[in-house]
Amino acid sequence: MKKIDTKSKILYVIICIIIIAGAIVYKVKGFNFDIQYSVRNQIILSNNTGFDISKIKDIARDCLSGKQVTLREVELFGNTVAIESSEITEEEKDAIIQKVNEEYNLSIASENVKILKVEHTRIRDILKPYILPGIITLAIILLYFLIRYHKIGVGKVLANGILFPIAIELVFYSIIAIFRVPFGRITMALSIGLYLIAVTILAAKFEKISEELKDIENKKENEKITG
Amino acid sequence: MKERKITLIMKILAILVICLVSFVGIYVCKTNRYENIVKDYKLSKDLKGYREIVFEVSDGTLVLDSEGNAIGNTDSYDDETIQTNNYTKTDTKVNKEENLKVENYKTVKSIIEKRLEGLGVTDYNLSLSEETGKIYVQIPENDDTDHVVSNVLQVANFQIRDSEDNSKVYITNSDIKKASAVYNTSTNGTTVYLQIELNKKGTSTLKDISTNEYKTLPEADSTSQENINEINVEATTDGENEKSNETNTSAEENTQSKENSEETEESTSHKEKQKEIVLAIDTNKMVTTSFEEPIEDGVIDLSMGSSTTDSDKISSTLQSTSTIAILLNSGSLPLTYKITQNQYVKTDITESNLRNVAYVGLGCLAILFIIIIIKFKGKGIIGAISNLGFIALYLLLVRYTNVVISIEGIVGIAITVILNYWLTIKLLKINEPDSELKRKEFTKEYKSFISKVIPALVIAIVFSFIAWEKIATFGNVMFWGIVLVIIYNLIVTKKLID
Repeated sequence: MKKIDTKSKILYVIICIIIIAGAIVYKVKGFNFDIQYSVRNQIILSNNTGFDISKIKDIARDCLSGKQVTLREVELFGNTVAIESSEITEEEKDAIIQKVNEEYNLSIASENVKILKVEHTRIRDILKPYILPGIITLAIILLYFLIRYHKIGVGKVLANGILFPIAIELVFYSIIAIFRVPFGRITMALSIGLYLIAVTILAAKFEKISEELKDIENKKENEKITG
Repeated sequence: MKERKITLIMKILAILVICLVSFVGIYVCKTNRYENIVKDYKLSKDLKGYREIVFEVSDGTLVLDSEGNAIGNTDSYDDETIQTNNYTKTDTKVNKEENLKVENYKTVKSIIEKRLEGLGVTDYNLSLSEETGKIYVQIPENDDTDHVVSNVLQVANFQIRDSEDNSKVYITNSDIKKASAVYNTSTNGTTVYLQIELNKKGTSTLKDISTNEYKTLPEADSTSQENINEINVEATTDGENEKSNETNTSAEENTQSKENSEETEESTSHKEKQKEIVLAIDTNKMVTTSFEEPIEDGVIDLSMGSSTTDSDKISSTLQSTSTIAILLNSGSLPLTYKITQNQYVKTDITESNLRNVAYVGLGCLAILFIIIIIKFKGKGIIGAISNLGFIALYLLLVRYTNVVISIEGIVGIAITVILNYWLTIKLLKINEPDSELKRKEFTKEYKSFISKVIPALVIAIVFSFIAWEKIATFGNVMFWGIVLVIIYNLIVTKKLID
């Protein structure tokens, strides 16, 4: 029993260290946002005959070496592409246009292609839609836990019910911040997935404790009957 | 024994057929080519594409009509239109230099967010440049996208002011408590109203002006039955066509209103005696009127068009009225913006990306199936087949319940598959030779599983009702998944293992 406690203590300490380290990294460096959420430059190229996306991607990667590049088709006709990167300088833009002109025998003028600066999406704007559903579900789940597992102890159920999912989420975001994992579209998806898994694990844990308590009660009753 | 084997083989064959239908499809010959008749997945904006719009602070100047009234700015009127209509281009900028500040940019951003939500945009991505005020928006592409884009930038400056003296403004957006679109059905048909409810200050101001200065004079009343607080106007909200609406009169409703531009010379004699107010949104004068009776409750009902029984007309009027209400509720933009980029952009997540995700998923499944087979031998094979059948059925269910698949949805599918695998293992672990004990054990495991997934079901149900598409798709996917896990294992897996 003592051994388990020590193990738990070590686990709690590790969790706390991860969360504190994550908070420090977030405060100092912020998250490493993926290109669709970070400050980026965009240029749009078009012609009449259409582009081969993979070829344009190669050209863009070549001219924007070392930078993250995203390429997307614009409209439905396949003759316009939007190239996005963390930064596109005038020289890089000229180089891309020159190579595209050579590849497709075009005469796209550099002055006709503007570099659009897109600002980053704020973390609070990304998280905002998830906060209210998170709070509502947590409140209902806590109520369910309190009704079903009140025998375990109201304080214990409440503390675990609130802290466990929050701790899991904080550890997840801390790991993302510490290891500079890009914060992108999949991050929020994984976050709500983890939340669901966390409450399911918690329910399983409570169910197990509840069954153990029931067994103990049954044993005691049997002992009383027998003697 | 032989009969049981045949039944088992039949069940496995049925599962394999479902797998074929779900993973491969049903191909039928249609106009010389084979088409899959199994419903396709509905993809979200992240997996399909979206409308990308850039809003920039307008640098346009005011455009006046021949009478000197401001009708818009140079962003909406080109030189040719200005010349042909005898309009005048002024040097007055629509956005004053002192208004170009961060607070106003932030206010505009917050109002646009409110409007997007009000207009039913369930998933958007918005970023603001605090230096230039430029706003970059991504919204899902659907039938309403153009309606949203054309309305979201309307300034929506609501005013009740003197019809002669523009500087006498009595009621503005800050006096509005709530605007809503309501309708009333009578024997003549349905009339849609824009109901504007004023706050305490607005109510008091309206009561004051309707009792004193702008009360209908007896002489005016004898020549024209003046209105009270029910006013009839035409409903148009298309921001692309910013124009003055014509005002209709409706004798049945005992109301009358006049468009400023259409005021007849006949009424000029009354105007000298009768003071009137103008109810305007931006440059659009919705109604010019006086008050037959004081408005004490602070509620103004503007009937948008006449009564009709045409359901299409009712629904379009209701939509445009709702849009006006949403614009008024969100507040007026402190700055005028213009659209500088508006295009549909396909997602950067390609089919090959999705295929790779599917391959990784298949790889993980293969590992899980190997584990289950090694652990439970023959029963493990049955468990693996049952799991495969579940995935096939689940993917069909997701398609036929019109669930939109997003990245969150894919995560939800993965979690559901894991939940099903977990329950299968629990059921495979039951190793009671006695059928009665086995049944009891099964019921116990099942009840325990349901207790464990109730929190997940709560999340699924609540998330399904959230308007934000990404959250809703996760909720929908999880809801159908959990329901199917419970039913499928009861009907299929249990029988197969038995």
